[in-house]
Amino acid sequence: MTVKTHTVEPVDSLSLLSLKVASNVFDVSSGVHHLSIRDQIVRARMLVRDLKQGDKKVRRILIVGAGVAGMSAALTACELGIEEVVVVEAKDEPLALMRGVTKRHVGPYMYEWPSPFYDNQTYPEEEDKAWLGNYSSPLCWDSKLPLSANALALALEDDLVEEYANGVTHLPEIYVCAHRHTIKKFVKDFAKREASNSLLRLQKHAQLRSETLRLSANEWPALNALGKKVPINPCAQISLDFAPQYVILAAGMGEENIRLTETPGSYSGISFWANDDLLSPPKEARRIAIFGGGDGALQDVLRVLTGFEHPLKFIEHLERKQSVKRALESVTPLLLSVERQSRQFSGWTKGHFGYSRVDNHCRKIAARLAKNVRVVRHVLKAIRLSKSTTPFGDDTEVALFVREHYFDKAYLLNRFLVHLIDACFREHQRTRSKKSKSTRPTKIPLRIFWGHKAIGSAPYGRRFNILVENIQTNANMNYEADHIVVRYGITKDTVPGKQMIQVSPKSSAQRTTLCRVELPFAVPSNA
Amino acid sequence: MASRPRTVGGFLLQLIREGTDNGHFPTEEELFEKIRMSRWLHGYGFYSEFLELDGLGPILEELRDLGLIKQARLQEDTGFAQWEVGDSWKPPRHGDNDRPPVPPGGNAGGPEEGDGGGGMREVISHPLLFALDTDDFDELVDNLFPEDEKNDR
Repeated sequence: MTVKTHTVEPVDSLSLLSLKVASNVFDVSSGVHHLSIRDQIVRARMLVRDLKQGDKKVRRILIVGAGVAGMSAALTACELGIEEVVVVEAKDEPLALMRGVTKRHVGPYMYEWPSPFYDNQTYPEEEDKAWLGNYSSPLCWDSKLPLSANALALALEDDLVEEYANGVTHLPEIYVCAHRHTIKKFVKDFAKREASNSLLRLQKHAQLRSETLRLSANEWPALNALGKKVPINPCAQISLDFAPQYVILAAGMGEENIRLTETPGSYSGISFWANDDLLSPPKEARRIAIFGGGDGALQDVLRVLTGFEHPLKFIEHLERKQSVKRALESVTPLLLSVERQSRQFSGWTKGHFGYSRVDNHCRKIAARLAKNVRVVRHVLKAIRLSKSTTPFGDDTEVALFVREHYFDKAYLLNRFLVHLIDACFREHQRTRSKKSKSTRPTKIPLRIFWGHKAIGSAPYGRRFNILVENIQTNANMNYEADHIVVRYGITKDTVPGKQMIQVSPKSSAQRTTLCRVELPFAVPSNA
Repeated sequence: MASRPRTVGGFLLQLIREGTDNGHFPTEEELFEKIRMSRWLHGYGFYSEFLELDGLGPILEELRDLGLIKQARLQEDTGFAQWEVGDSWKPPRHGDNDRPPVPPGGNAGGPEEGDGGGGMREVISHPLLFALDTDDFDELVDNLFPEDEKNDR
């Protein structure tokens, strides 16, 4: 009897399956569950790695968007020997979203607090992280502290320009100022053509010719004779003619929802990636209303209350006092376990159950720490003084309106610190009421309105009058604010994450997504 | 040798599959003729006289509604509809002893055998598997470069 054997080569496919959006089209930026700068780099790198492994004939890749994810994908593709790697960008330079943003800070490890390696933002730093081993990244930087988005963009650009100026042999072709409507039309046509070809291939029929992208754009970087970068000349566009085998979309995280309500003409705040004045010292009484329950809202609460550029400065402040540091260290193992469980559970389970659980634990741990008078004193020391118009500072506050009764998707660092401040304020109020009222200048108070949403707003003198509804009781209240911050995050309708899990073309009510699974910190250079 | 189908629908499917493999898409009339002449049909005690041409129409429609077959094109000279296998369905190929063969596994052995990427390539290029539906995909593409779109408004 002859036994037939087959050589089976296992391939890594999670990135391919989770990021696929159409035939031979992947999306590494919109609808993603994990979106830190480190996540963007790792996700793009693993996608290209797996694509190269899954299709050994891959030669030509088009990447749409030259942000962190797009550049990471492009540079990885070149590193892995993919012959033609083209990046198209609508703006006039790569990493455009981060440029000019000096008020937001990024760091690849800061949100890993309280893991022991949270305090060095060099990427992918190996010295302090022996467990990382021989890891690499197409985008690297060296900085102990979190960098402003602008500073990081400039540092990465310097590295890239240097490589192009030095004539490093295999680099992606980057085209900027590309007409976005041409790109969008191409992507749709490409997906349709690849879908047809997929069916023809399955049926062993002759396939159609691949779709070709034709557009005019500027090559980046534009270098002078000395190898220095010079501004793009919009009149010096060249024609691009490229027929990719695969398209990787990396041009936007989805539409950020900064409208206070759905009502037409509703108040619209400024984008997360825009410079605001929340860090400026309060010169006069200000009532600031922040709407949202995720990272954006929590970051802004911390920024207004403390004036710290990023939450690590708050941790640094807390750890400066030995007794507070010890108190924090006593809850660190519990916080870490809560965070691990939350990340892993939400990776396997849809819905917000994991967030409510982790939030509840954080609230309890914060309340426990707030029983320590030294902790309360030191936490409140970090809160800025209000510039109140009234003797007791009653007119200055930060009000956080959260739709749920827990904070939504947020890093433990932001989540825990806001709960800690809230718990300390409560404890301070409780103990203060027993004593006589102090005449000392007050700190900016924080009030959290759980289960509330805005349903309207109108200018009221130099302020805004916001109509807020208690979602459970439907009771309405008016809130006057000098400043409104809307941090609802990415509009759910503008992101994908609803992949079909069927083989019949008929419509089905069931969809899935795999992209909730947590990403590693870095990708090994030889993996 | 292929296993014998046990229903007229199954037999039709087999005929259409063979046609698709050979690049010939049978019309309803051709299918009827093949069924009428089939020794298989007589062997199972059916009488071909009972099969009127009109009787095939509903069966073909049902197979089409199930996504198993689709109309390929209209025959040039007669204008009759020709049939082929459905978009996302590939009939199982039967091996020896009427048992389905073991698939080759891994990346080898796809339609482009030996390219080292057939298995995964089939999945990532498939129009439905792990893809967004067309409307969602179009919306996703429309929302690329969101900051620039805002500047347009």
